[in-house]
Amino acid sequence: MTVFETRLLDVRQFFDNNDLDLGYRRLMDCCMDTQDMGIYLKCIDLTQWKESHPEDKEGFMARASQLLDRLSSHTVVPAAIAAPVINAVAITKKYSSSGFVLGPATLDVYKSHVYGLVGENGNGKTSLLRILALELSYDSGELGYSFDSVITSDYELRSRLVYVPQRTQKWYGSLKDNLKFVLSNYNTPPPEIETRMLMMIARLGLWNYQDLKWSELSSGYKMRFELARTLLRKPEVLLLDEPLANLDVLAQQVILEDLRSICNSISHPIALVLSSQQLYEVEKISDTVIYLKNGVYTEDNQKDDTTSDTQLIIEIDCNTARTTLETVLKEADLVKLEYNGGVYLAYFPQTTPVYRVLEVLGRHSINLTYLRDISRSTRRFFVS
Amino acid sequence: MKSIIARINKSLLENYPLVWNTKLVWMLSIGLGIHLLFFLLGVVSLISPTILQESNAIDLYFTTGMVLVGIILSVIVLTVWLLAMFRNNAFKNFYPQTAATLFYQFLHYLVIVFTCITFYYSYTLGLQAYTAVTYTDTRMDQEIATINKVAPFFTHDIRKYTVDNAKYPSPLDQLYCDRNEKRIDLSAPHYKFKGEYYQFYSLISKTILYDRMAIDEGDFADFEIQTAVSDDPSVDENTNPSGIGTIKASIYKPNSIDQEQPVDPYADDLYLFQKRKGDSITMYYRKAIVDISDFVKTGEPSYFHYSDLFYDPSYMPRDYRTASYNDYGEEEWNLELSGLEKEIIAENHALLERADKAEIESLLTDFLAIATTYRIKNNLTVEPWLELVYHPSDFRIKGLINADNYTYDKRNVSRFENNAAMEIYINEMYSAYYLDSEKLKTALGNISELKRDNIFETSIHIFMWITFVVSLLIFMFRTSGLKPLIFSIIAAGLVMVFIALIFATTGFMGGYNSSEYFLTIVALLILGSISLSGIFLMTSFKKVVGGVLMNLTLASFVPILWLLVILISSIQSDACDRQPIGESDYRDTCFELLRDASPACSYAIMVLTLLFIWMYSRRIMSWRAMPEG
Repeated sequence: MTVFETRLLDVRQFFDNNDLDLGYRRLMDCCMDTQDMGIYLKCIDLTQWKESHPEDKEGFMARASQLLDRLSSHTVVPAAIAAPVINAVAITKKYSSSGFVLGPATLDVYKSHVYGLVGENGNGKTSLLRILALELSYDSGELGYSFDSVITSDYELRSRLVYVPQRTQKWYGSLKDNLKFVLSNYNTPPPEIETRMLMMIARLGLWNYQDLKWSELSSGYKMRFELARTLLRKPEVLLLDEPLANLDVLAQQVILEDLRSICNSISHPIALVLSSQQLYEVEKISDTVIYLKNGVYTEDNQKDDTTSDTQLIIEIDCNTARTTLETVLKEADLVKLEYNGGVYLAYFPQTTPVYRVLEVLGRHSINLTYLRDISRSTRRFFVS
Repeated sequence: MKSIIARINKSLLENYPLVWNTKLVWMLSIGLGIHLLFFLLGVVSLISPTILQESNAIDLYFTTGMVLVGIILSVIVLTVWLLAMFRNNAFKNFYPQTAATLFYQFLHYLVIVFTCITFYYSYTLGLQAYTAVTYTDTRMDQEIATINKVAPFFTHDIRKYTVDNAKYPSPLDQLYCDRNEKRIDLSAPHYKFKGEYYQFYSLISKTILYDRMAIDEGDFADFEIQTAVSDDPSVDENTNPSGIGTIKASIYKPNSIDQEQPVDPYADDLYLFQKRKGDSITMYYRKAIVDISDFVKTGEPSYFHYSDLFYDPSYMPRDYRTASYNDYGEEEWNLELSGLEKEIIAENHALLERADKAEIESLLTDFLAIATTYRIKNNLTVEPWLELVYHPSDFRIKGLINADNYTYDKRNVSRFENNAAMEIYINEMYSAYYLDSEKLKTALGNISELKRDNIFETSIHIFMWITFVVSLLIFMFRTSGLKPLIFSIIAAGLVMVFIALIFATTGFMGGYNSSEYFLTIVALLILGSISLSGIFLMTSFKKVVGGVLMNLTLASFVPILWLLVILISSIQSDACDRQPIGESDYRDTCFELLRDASPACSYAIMVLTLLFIWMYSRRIMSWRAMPEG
C-alpha cells in the first residue's frame, strides 16, 4: 500500500469515526497532493457545499466519499526528502551592544520534519530563525542550502527561504488579489491561479472570510491568511516566528495540526521550523524540539545534564501540603521534590513508571489539579 | 462596466502581475482620457478669435491657468496611482523576480508619469488642431494677401508715409535718406515738409571680419585686417575685387561684442550705420546725394511712400530679428527688402497708380469682412474710409486713423517733439476712426505660430527629465524602502554641500582661475567615486549604507554624463577659439557638443541611463538579498 493510499484510508476512518472536520482537512491535504486541478475544483465545490449546508452531515459524508473514491484512482509520487534542506554548522551570532551570543548552533533541517524552537524570551529564537532565513548575518559557522532546483542568485535564495515574522505586515486591497498576486509572480499557469487560491483558502478554513478586508479580520485569521500566502509560494522551507502568539488555545492546536499535515505532504513536503512559547502544543507536533537558553542550543534531550535519561520527572499541581505529598510519593521511590511557587516537580528513578506514581497518589486520595510527565519535555528546563 | 473592469483586472493579475501591480493599463487609460479632455479644451479655447489677439496664444496653457488645472490633476492622479501601486510589492516580498522585471517596472513608471504630467501637449495640440482646421493655408494666404494690400490704408502713423519711406521704384530701395537737418546740403536736391528735411544718398560699404584669436589677446588690440569694400551693397563684397583696401580697426572686448555693442565708430563723418551678420560687420557710408524727383510724386506724406509689409507670413511672434544700429539710435535702415516685401510694395504702388476706386473699395470691403471675422475692434465703414484715402492725383495723406479706440495716438508725435508745426499737423490729421490693426497682426502671427510651431522640440526634454526624476524617486522607494531613501536624500545634500565648499574654498583662494575645467572635474571625481562604490562595493557595507550608495549611484549617473558633456564642450570650445580665422564662418565649422547637439545629448544620456539602470538592476537585486542586520 502506498503512502497516499494509507492516507486515504486514514481519511475514511476519520469519517467513519464521525471526525468530520479532521477528516475533511486530511481529505483536502490528499487533494492537494494530487496537484490535479480537476480534483481541486471538486474539493472547492465540496467546501462550498459544506459551508452552505452546515447541518447536513450525511450529505457532506456522501460527497466526501465520492471525492475519496475519485482520489483512489490517483497516484502520488513521493518527493525526495533524504537530504537536508538547511545544513547549519556551528553558527554563532554576537550582539556587541548587549553582549548576547547565539550559538554555536548546528542542525540539519529536513523536509517533512517539524522543528519546534522553544526558549524563554530573549534567548535567540527569532535570531536563529532569521539567520536561517538569511535575514540576519552570522559571525561564524557555515550555512548551506539544498533545494530541488539550482539557485542562481542570492535574491533567488532569499525568495526560497520563506520567513514569516511574528508581526506580519498589513495587507492592502483585496485578500484574494494578494493571494493571486503570489501565484502569478510564481509563474503559476493563469487558468490554475483562481483554483489554487480557492483551494488554499478552503484548506486553511478561510472560506467565509475571503471577501473581508484585512482590517476586518481577527489576529488569528490574519495569521491564517499570512500562512495561506506563504504556502502558496510552494516553499521547501518554512520559518515561522511565533505563529501561535495571537491564537486561542483551540486555534493553536488546529493551526499546528494543519501545518504539520501540510508540511507532511507527499508530493510537496516542507521543512517547518517554528518558534513558540506554547511548549506543550509545539512538542506535540514537532519531530525535533530545539531549546535555546542564553543563546545556547540544545536539541531535544541532549541537554548536558542527563537527568531526562536517568530520571522520571513529574509535574504536579495540587492543594496538598508539601510534607504530606513528600511522604506519599516516597512510596514511589521519590528522589526529591521541588516547589517552584506554582507547581511541584517530583523526581523519581528511571525504574519508577508513571502509573506507579498515579496509583500512589490515588490510593492516598490526593486531589490533583494537574499532572504531567515532563521527563522528555523541554518544559523541565523552564520549570526547574 | 464594473464587471468589465473586474475581468480585465483578473486577466492582468493572472497573466501580467507586473502590469497589474503598476496599474499601467488603468493609468494609461485615465491619462489618455485626461489628455483627450485637455485636447478638447484646447480646441474650444480658440472658438472665440479674440483669444488670438493676445500675444503668444501658443502659450495659452500657461496664461489661462490651465497649467494649474493640469498640475493639480497630475498630482491627484499620481497620488492615487502610488497609493494603489504601493499595496503590493513583489520585490520587497522576495517573490521571484529578474533584473529585467525590475527594469520593466521602472519603464512602467516612466510611461505612467510621462502620460500624467504632459497634459500641456494635448491642450496645445488641441489649439493647433483647431487652428489647422479653421484657418487653412488657402484661407490664410488669401486673407493675408488682402490684409497686406489694404495695410497702406490703415494710416495710423504718419512716419510711415513721409518721403523717406519711399522704396519703390528702384533705385529708391538702394538709397539712404538723411533727416539730420545739420547735415542737409540745402544747395542739393532735398525735400522739406513741416520743418522736416529729407535728402537722399547713395552708399558705399565696408565689411570687417572678426579675428577671434585677436579678440582673445586683449582689449583694443590693433591689427591689420583685410576688408572688402563695395559701393553696391547688393553685391557680395567678398566676391567683388574692386575697392579692396586695408583699414585700421580697433576691436572691443569679446563680451562687448557679444552684447552687440557697435564697433568703434570711425572718425569719418560719412559713416551712417552698420549691420552685423555672423562674424562680420558691414559699415555703410554716404557716397553722393541723389535727386529722386523723377521717382516720387510728392515730398509730402503719401500712400505712395508706404513701403512696409504689414504681415510677413514667415513671421513668428517668437522671432527676434537681428538688431542693428545707426548713429541716431533709430530703427533699422532696411536695405535688404525681402522678395515678398518688394512684391507687395510693387503691387501696392501699382494699385495706387491704377487709382481704380472700385478696386480699392472692393479691397476695403474684403478687409472689413476679415476684421469682423477676427473680431478686430474698429469703427470703419467702407465709404468714409474710401473717402479718406482716395485722392487719385498723388494719394496724399488727408487723415489718420487711430490704432485703437482709446484716444488719439500721440506716439507718432514723439519723433517730432521739437517740431511744433509737425505736431500740430499730426493732431489735426487724426480722424475719429480707429482700427486695432496690431491685434490683427498678433492674431495672424498666433495662427502662423500655432500652425507651424513644433511644441515638442524643446519642451520634450523638460518633461522627459521631470519624468525621469519622479520615476527614479519612486523606483528608489520601491526597491530600497523609505529609510535608505531618506538617508540618500540627506547624503545627496551633504555631497552637494561638500562640492560647494570645495568650489567656494578654491574660488576664495583663486585656485580655479588657472583652469576652467576644475569645477567640472572635481564634481566628476566626487560623483564618479560614489557611483563606483555603489557599483562595486555596495554589498560590502551594511544594508542601509549599501542602500544609500545604491540610490546615490542611480541618482548620480545622469549628472555624471552631463558633466562629461560639459567637459567635452569646454575642451571643444577652447579648441575652436584657438582656430585661426577662416574663410567660412567659424560657427559653421567648429562643433561644440553642448551648443550644437544638446537635444541629441539629452536623448543619448536618457538612453544610456536606461541602459545603466537595466544593467544595475542585477546589483539592486543583490543588495535586496543582503541580510537586514
